Amino acid sequence: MRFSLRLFHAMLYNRKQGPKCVTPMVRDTQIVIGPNASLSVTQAWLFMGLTALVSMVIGIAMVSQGLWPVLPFAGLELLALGAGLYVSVRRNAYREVIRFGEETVYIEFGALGRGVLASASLPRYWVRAVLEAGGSAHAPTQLALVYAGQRVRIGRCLTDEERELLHQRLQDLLSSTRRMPGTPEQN
Amino acid sequence: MAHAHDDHAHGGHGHDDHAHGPDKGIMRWIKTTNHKDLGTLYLFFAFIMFFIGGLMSLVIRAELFHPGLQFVDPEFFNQMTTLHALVMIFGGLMPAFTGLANWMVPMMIGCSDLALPRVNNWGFWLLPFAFTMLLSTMFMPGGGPAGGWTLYPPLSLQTANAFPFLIFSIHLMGISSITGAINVVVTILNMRTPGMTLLKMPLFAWTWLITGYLLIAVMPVLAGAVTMLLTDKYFGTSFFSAAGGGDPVLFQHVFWFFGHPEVYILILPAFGIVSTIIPTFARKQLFGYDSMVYATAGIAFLSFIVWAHHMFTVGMPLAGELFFMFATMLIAVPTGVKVFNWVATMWRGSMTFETPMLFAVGFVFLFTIGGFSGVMLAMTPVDFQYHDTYFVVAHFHYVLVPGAVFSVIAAIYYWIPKWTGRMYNEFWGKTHFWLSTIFINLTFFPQHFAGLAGMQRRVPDYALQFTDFNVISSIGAFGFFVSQFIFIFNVLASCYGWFGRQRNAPDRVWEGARGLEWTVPSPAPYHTFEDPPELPAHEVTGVHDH
Repeated sequence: MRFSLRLFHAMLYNRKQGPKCVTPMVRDTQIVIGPNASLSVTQAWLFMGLTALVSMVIGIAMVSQGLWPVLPFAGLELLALGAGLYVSVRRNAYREVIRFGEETVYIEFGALGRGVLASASLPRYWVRAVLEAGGSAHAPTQLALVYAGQRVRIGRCLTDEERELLHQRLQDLLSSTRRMPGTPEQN
Repeated sequence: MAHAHDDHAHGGHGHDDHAHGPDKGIMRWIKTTNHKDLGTLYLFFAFIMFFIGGLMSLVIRAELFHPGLQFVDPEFFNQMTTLHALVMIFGGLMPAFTGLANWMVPMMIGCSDLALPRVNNWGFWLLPFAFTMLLSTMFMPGGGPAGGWTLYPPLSLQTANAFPFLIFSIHLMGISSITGAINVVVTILNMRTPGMTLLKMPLFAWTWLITGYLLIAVMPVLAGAVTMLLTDKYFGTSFFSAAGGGDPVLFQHVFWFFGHPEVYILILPAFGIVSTIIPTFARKQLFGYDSMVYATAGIAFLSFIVWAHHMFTVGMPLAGELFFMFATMLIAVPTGVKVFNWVATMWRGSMTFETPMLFAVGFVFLFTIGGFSGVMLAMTPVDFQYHDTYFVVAHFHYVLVPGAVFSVIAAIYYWIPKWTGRMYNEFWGKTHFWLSTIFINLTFFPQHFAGLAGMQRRVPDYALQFTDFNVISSIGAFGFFVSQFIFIFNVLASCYGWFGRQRNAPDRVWEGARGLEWTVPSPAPYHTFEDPPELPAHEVTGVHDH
């Protein structure tokens, strides 16, 4: 279920800042991974609005009694709350996008509204998805796309179970269309 | 979770310190942004403040042991009552609850740390400076503040050189509280593990969310009020000066508009702790989880519209007195919901009485006594007799000591095996409980009678007929103070492995405990839940899907 949610994020990503696709792709060859976040931007605005409403009602009531020094303190505090919410919600925008071209796998790291911050491309035929145990018994697993000594770690913001699901999905995608570059497609 | 994407999104300047363990030496504690380290710092700070505030209470009780003036002059006595309250409220209880939130909220909701770790560090380190400044006022010319923690003008404006330091320290305490509140609120809203909807959160997280909201709403009022006192004294304004057209009673309204929600800021997290502990040792789900949440929210709402019950005697329209009386009595409804839910949770449970449960049950009994005397005080005509007597002192101490303080003690016994990996000593824990319970009742129960008989609060001397009550009270206070050393040694022994205590606590320390914090090893790893964990149905302490 969470993957379907992330496909929704994928559409957002492409609509706003996503780079143009170099290779033609079918719908399900793009996977977008985002961190868990229990607060949406709308909910954050709603919470901020409700808090500001309460604080401002109190502040304005105080001003009406001549106690104006309460209002600037209320304003400062709302600024601090807004900043805290902004910083926290901004982190939710992180995305990893994995696109499967005919011969290349493109991996992009970026954020909603800020575009691609780092990227890599690996030959689809040779790349392998590797899921490894973490450094200790309680450390999270590590998922990486590996090709000839290059190692691109993905899915850091997922749970172990989600990484395992993603690993299987990647293996399916890599093996189902696997063929040597330049060789004709078999019927 | 959050730091993993930060590394990419911000060019690697996120919290990549999560990849290794803590620093060594003193710098670990000064620079730390880890929620567990800061939780520990908050708790140790709170205990130092409880100790200092406790010593002040002993000065008060020693002076009141007999009628007449024995040890201190009245001015110093008044400094002690004022500072005792400020130290216990802002230095003891609030940091203790913030410490517990630091330790437990991320582990309960399944995130790696609080949302704003550096702000968390800053918020804590303001406190030692604030309280050093506050306590230093005792050594200034003219002495420390002596007009009561409520700072009513014009009395508080008579404070000598200490006044600006008092105001500045209150501002620093306020900033620290605000940073803590914003951090906890943002964390709970944005960083819950997948599947943990709001109504599946542990109640401790819920009560802290509402407490944080209350803090955000009322702290600017306190900041504004004390700033106006400062400008009245030093900058010629007349907000509260009758001579300049101001109104001293207006300050009381403003102060209590902050002060009454503050009372709930001090007790709501305690409700969350008790609601966590009782189901564990009754081995049952909490009865009426959702009604507990709504009751907490109801109490928080009502706390905004009852402030004037603290000042029935200053004079207000009859309609106002009636409104504040009935609004105050209304608080008994959601509070009653809570008490009945705790009792219903215990009803036919497989109860055992380990130390945390003893303190939780003690809380339910003794807090309810404080609640009942609160209902008595809510009645306007009756309050005219009780106002400013020891009955009020007995009431709020029943709410705050066997109420809030007992819940902090219960929480520490409950979670310390998770924090340190070592169990506390059960015999000494139970001894601590019984001594504390006996002595706390010895201290505060007779004060009801002293107050009803007419003994005024905030006086170092009293009429002869109150002597017996005061002798018993003072014996109780000294006994309670000494009993806490059992707790201190018990806790420190678990922290440092004294008396051969082994680090062998299992992951799920209490068989009846539910929640994500019990799925990690004991002691909890320095970095917990770097990945948001799955939330198994049997760990959900809130409303289950049907």
